Amino acid sequence: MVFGMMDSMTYALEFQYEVAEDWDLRVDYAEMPTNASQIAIAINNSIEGVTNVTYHLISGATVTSNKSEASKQVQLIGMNDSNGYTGHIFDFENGKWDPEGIVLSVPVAEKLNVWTNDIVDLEIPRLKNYTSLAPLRAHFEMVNVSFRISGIVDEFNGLVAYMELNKLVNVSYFPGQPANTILIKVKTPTSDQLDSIRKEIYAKYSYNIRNIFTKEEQSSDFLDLLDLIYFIIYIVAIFAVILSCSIVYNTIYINLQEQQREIATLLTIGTPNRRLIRNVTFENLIVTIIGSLFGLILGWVMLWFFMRLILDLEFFRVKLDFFFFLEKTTLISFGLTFIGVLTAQFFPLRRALNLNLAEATKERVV
Amino acid sequence: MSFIELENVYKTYTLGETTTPALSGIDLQIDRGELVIVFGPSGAGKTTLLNMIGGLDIPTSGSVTVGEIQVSTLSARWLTIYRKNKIGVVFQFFNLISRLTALENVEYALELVGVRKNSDAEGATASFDSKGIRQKAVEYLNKVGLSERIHHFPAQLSGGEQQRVSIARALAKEPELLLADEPTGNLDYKIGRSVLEIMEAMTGKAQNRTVVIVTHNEAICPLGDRVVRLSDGQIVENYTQEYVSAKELYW
Repeated sequence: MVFGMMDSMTYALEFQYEVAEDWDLRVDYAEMPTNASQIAIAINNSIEGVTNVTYHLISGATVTSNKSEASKQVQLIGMNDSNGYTGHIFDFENGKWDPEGIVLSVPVAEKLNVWTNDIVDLEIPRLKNYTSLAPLRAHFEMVNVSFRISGIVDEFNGLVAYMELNKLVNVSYFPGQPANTILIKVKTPTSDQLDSIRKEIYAKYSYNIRNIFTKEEQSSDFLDLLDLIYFIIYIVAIFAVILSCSIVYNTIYINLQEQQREIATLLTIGTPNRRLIRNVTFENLIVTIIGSLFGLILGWVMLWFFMRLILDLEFFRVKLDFFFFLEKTTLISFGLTFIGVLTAQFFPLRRALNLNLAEATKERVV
Repeated sequence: MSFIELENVYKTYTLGETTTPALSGIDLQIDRGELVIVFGPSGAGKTTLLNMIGGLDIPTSGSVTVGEIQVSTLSARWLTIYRKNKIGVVFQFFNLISRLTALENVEYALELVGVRKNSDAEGATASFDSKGIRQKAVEYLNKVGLSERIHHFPAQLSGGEQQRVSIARALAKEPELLLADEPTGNLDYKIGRSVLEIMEAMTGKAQNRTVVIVTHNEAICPLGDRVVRLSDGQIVENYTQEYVSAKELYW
């Protein structure tokens, strides 16, 4: 089931970076420039190979609604779509992009019990006064603004809301044309071309830039993280299998010890070894199936809560299907469990079959 | 040739560097249909002797032959077949399968031989089809007087009743040889006597079934056609006439 969850996360991540993230180079700023428009135009005009440039302003907000007691903190992304290029392709669950409204992600909508065309309140920082423009040094106050939900998206980013950049700038009273990310689309995004453009941006517009990375680099950062989680899960799974085997071995050993006298009696009255092995294996198989079903249900419940926790962490958007475990991994788990049981029963059973019948049948049951 | 023949049988048990002789040069012949009581104090080698005949143990040296089968040379697999087809065993502590009812306990033993129909080549003395198994099991439970208790589990039966189920289980498959190890050892006198009476009625020359009973209780000895007394792993007495005549007096 954990592997199923991980696959869901990997799929979401791959989808996000293959389809939804519509850019080739991303420039992140350490301090928010207030002349993003000028920078974008300059990059677009002066660097060969660049076909489109846009910019985002990433802020924070607390979303509430009158349909729920809950509130949710989201990453609020102001999107500039003045030239028809936003750097992002929405994966709409419902509704559409509307510069007058706001787009929420599924986890936020679920948490607040809202859907398209409902009204939500956003508590966002509004600039009160500033002491410097470049870099921006300012004081903020929190204000509430209501928005109609124009769309619900189901994407990799967990708790996120999108709105039109000018609207965000207006309600936040930000000066100029601020942005903290510039997204660049390149005509031929080969690694050489991307490297070349990156070097040129660093050379011409390096002021205040924190990092410039390609889509592949950012995607691989996340995939590396997922690989690490996969690795940890594999280790945990291996330990779980070893632990299960030792517990099953112990249980079967004790079980066969307790049945030693009966086994000896069965052998004495002429039960063939093969039949005894078959009976014990069948008994263990039934216990394994019942135990596995219980394990599956308990594991499902535990993982359900675990996944809810992950969703609340705002990190990954994991599609929480009701049956989110994979057939392959479930079958492998069953297979491993049964192999574990067969292995675990081998030595105690062999011991039982080599009992001294004369002694074992005389053991008194207390 | 006798039905059971033990020839110069020795059995020693070794634990570390200590070797303990259990049987020392046993020569014994038992005819078909005889009821033999093997009597002696604890540690005399009675159970070891019974185990040799029953194929539960093999001698260190010497030979054990039962109905022309040289038991002492059989492999583990053939010993199992031998026990299944030739031998019925009655244990001191009954040894019924606790999860099975009285009827199922008897049926199980019958199934073992029943499923091997037409397997006389392996020495089967009886074979039953699946339909006949229940009928046969009920018949034998009736014979031991448990017709009203056939669906009871061992824990719901008294010691005497359990032993009667054990006898029914051992005899239902109609073995040529019945071995009983202290069959009354865990029962009081009255119940023990009734159990022995049942065994006596269901075995012996009339049924052409040989019986070997091991006991340390001298009071049982008059029941046998012959009494073999063991001491320190050797036969010290082998009576026939005296005990047969004394038998009527005792019972």
